[in-house]
Amino acid sequence: MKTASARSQNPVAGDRNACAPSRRRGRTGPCDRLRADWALGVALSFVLWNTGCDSEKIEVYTAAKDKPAPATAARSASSPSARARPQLRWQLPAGWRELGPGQMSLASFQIEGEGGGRAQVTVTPLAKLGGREVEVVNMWREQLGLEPLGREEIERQFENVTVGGEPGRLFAVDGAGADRIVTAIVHRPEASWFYKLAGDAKVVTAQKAAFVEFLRTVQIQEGAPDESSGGDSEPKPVWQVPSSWRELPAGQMQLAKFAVPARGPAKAEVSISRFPNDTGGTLANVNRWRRQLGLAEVAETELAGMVSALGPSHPEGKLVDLTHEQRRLVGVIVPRSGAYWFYKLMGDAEAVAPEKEAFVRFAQSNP
Amino acid sequence: MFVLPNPILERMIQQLIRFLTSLRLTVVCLALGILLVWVGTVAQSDEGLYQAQQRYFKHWWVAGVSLFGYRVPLALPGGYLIGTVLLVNLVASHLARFKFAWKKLGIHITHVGIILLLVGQLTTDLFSRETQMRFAEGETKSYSESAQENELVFLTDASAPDRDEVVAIPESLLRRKGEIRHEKLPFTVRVQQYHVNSQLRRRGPMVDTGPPPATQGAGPGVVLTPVAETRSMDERNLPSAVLELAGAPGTSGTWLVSPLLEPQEFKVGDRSWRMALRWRRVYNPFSMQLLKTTHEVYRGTDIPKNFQSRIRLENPAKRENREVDIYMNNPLRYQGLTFFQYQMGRDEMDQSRGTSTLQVVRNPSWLTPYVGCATVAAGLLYQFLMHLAGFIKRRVA
Repeated sequence: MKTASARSQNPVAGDRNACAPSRRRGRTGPCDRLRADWALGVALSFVLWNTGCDSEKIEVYTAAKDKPAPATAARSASSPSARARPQLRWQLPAGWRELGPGQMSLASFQIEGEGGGRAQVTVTPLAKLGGREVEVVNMWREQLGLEPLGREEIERQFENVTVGGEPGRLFAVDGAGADRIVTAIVHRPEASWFYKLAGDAKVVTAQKAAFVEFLRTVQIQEGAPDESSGGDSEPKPVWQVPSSWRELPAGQMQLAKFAVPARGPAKAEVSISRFPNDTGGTLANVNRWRRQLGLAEVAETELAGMVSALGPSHPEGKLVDLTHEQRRLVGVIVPRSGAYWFYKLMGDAEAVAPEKEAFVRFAQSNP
Repeated sequence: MFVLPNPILERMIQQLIRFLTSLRLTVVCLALGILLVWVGTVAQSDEGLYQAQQRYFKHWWVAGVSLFGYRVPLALPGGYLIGTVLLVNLVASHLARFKFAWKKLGIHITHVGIILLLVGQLTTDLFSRETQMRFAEGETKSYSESAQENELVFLTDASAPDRDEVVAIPESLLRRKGEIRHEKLPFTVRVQQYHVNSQLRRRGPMVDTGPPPATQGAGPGVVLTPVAETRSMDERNLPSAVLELAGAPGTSGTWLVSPLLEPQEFKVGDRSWRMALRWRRVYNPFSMQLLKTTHEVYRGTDIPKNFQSRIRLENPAKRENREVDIYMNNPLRYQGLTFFQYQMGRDEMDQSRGTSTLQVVRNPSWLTPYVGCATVAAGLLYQFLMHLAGFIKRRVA
């Protein structure tokens, strides 16, 4: 057996005994070092391997509770829904119930049919989609679980219709179940307008004539706020604004907007709007506010428990206070001087709470 | 020193050592490395940069490769395996053949430098971590989030009123489906569906007539559409999963989780829980508040001149509370982390409020490439000078 020192004279691989261990006490040959290194390498690899598998482990720890993040769903200024909302006028067909504007729609209506069937009508301006009717129809068909149709077939199904004196196109999509959608599209310079009647097939079929008649009566007053709507051209009321509030540029359809004092990162804003009608009633507005907070809509029967009077001196005014996940909204609807005033304090709950009293006083006293 | 009494074992070890110290192994590894780099680079166009890096270079084996749009049934050793074998080969050869001589000192130093580079790259891959910290002016964050990975979390009130106890389950466990149990969870999580990328939209009351993706929480109100995994560097996959919480009364039915949904609350007994699928978080023992953002561009252009975030750094354990400026080419190095200025923008809700994103990098072995390169350079220089000196000496003689 050769010793390590002998092997070191001939280090070329191929010597079968090249790595025989040194048996001399107190001496460590290169092969011994190699084996020690090998063992170390295996151990190191094991450690690294285990470290690399850390991403598979379930971790348990404590962490500070999340504070509410700033809302990210704000509409961009260029989106149709963020621009000036046109004013709509119409003649309400018999049996239709107005629900007020929704998140995207300018108006919506509920139709109760016989035997419990229901349908809904919505009026929604969207981005200009002129020339893309085929894609739109196929989108509806896809949502109803139907195969897409070819351009020629869709063109054949279109009916001509008059919407407020303007030419529009009407089409119907029958779902695989008991649902039916009838939609009229009108392309205007500022947007494509969708008038949709959707719901139980029987109700939709029965209401189609009334829907077509409704379309004839629709009048759009584009971007010209009248005296009863908020707008830059309207002289602002003389406000008695709490001194700590900071005025912000009012948004479209708003009379004014204020930032209340921030509490650390928590922020909130007050906005005031005025409309000639109650825009669908208390229920529609409360549900619109609830949606803004991410809350589910409530039924008429649940409304009484969440709406209170604005105060003894303003029994006609309605006050709503909603909170959801650190976000809070205090809303007030006051009929005043032949119009409906809408006051809204909304933001992080931490910033809303200390301002509620001042906000209510502001709504009671202004203008 | 250890001696093996078994001659068969002894012979096996000798053969193994001969294999590990052979020059052929080095050449084969280098050739495979070249092939892997080429395949991995070409595959990036089909699989995306991140996926290709993970699958080809950060794995031990690669089964099936993508070449020019075709799936080729080819098995290759991954980057980890080639790197590890090269490292073992280099160390073993060095030790087996090591004989100190001044004239070969440069070669030894060069080898040490290469070993450092290999070890440094391996440890960088294993231990480095890149996350992002996004906040708006006024916001305080004590965590950063992964740009690629997600986690399913179950949150419940901790003993302190302002803290949550978090059970964080990595997305990789959801991907396997099946059951997930943990001693801290009073229920078993059954993953019924997992989608690596998906779209969610609000359910139309009269239009969407199919069954909802889940029966509890946000599930009944949305429509879930699985979509193909994105490979683009500019997009992020939005995973979703349908879960069942078994073994706890009051949680019957199924739940849909997605980073697009807010945490969903449920009760088990008297205890409230929240559940969410979110970007994977890494918490720090300190907090950072974004005080001010500065975004300057060269006059008349959109070319950025200066991105700057003023941060309040607060570390209660060290009684530290100070303001720091982080801007381009001036990162903050703190507690083993490096905070780079990454992106800037405006708060969508309040355009007067600036937002900032910091790239948070943890790389404990960030120095090894520098040291390795310097060592290699020193070794080569020494060796060159030795030869040069010998050459000059011979010429003079």
